[in-house]
Amino acid sequence: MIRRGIIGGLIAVCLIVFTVYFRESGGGPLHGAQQMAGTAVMPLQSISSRAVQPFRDGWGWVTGLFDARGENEDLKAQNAALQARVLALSDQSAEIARLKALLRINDGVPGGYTPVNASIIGRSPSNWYARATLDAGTSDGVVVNSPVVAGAAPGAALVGLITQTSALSSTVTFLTDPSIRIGATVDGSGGALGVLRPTVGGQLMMDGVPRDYRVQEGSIVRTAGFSAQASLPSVFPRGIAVGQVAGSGSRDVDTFQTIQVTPYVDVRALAAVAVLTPQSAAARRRAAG
Amino acid sequence: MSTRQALRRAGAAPRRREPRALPQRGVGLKRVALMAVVVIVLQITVMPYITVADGIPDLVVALVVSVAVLRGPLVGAVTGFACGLIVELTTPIGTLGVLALLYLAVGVWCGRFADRPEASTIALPLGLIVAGAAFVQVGYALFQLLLGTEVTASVIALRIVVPTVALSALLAPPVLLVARRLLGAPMVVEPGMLDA
Repeated sequence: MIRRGIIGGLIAVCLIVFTVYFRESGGGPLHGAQQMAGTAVMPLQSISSRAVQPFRDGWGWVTGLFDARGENEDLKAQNAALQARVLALSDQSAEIARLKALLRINDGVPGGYTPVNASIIGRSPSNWYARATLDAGTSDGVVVNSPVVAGAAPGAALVGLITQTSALSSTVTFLTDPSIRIGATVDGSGGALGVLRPTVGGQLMMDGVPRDYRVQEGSIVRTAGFSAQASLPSVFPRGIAVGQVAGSGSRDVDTFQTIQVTPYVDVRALAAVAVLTPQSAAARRRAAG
Repeated sequence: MSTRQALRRAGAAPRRREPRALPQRGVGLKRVALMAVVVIVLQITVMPYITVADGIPDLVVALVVSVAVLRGPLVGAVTGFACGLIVELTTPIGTLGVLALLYLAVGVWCGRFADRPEASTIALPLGLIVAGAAFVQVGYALFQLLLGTEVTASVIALRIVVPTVALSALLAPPVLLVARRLLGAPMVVEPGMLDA
């Protein structure tokens, strides 16, 4: 009887906790407790993140080999050689590469924002949420809705936005998270506007582009500066590169075409990013939503 | 002539080798807590980086099942609740109370097997870990669908549930063996025993 009472009590606590959690605002007591707990384990996550880096590289190498099985023999050999080289790199050279990538970010930073470099110190243990914990928080100028970028071929490339902050850490929700929608445009398409949403395997899909816009494969997809709700301003400023067009298509009866977009940055392999902290009044208004 | 042949010739049936009995130990709540701390640290720091497709190994379910099978539904439920809540509190997961409820259910259900003779074997807990991991993933998927996440059943099954269950099953034996080593023979813990 007592056992059933205890178990029933725990079930009731669970139901109350998740009901309150989803009903309260982002600044509510349970969200606050979650942020405090996250901040408390931040040093542990930071240390363990560095400690497991060699194992992550090794695992990445193993999974990379499996991914390459579908490619031709030359690519397989090239991939194995490259992965072997990656394994051979010391932690120091990896750090240098990360810093170089961060330096490239300055090429594409939109006006009104200042980049703040941050390391990823924790990731979501659930496959449902593409989120990570950064070691930069409000004390570094990071606010909720700050865009997060990483270094890529065209300069700064969008990887997500800040959804939670505390004094010393923040949570980035990557653009592959199901909750993310981004107003976007395609370079060289004559002003095609659409909404990006994540699909499986870290890819993106751009919807809402009328069929009469001609979209070339390989074109750069950038943030448009508006939100999914028509002409409202987006938390993402205009002009940040997101990815490249991998293909497009539509049926004869469709009014709109669907465009597949490959993001410039594979968020699963990221170790460091830059948070674009709003400095100008316009940028602050965007972040305020 | 071997002993077995001699026995067979004498008409005696060959004796089946009994599994080695696990040693009797106390309730071991401190050991359970220690294992929980280690598993949670591994789950939030190392496991998110071990991925196949979208699957991430679930060490917590391995711990909850192991503890539940060795100590009964009450300890299993409390372990599942505590582990789930701590994982949700300390990581950027976006929910609170959902994993706690799912792990609690796994702990209660698996704890019902603690007073059966098969609880001392390896096969039963391993099977329960696979079933438990699948239950947690499917339960979490249903919760996400209720929240309005757009994802197809094939993606849930092939990219999330199957890889997660496979990875969890691969990494479960060490957790199970350590739990058996630390907790010893199965016993059903009741609230009165904790007072004593």
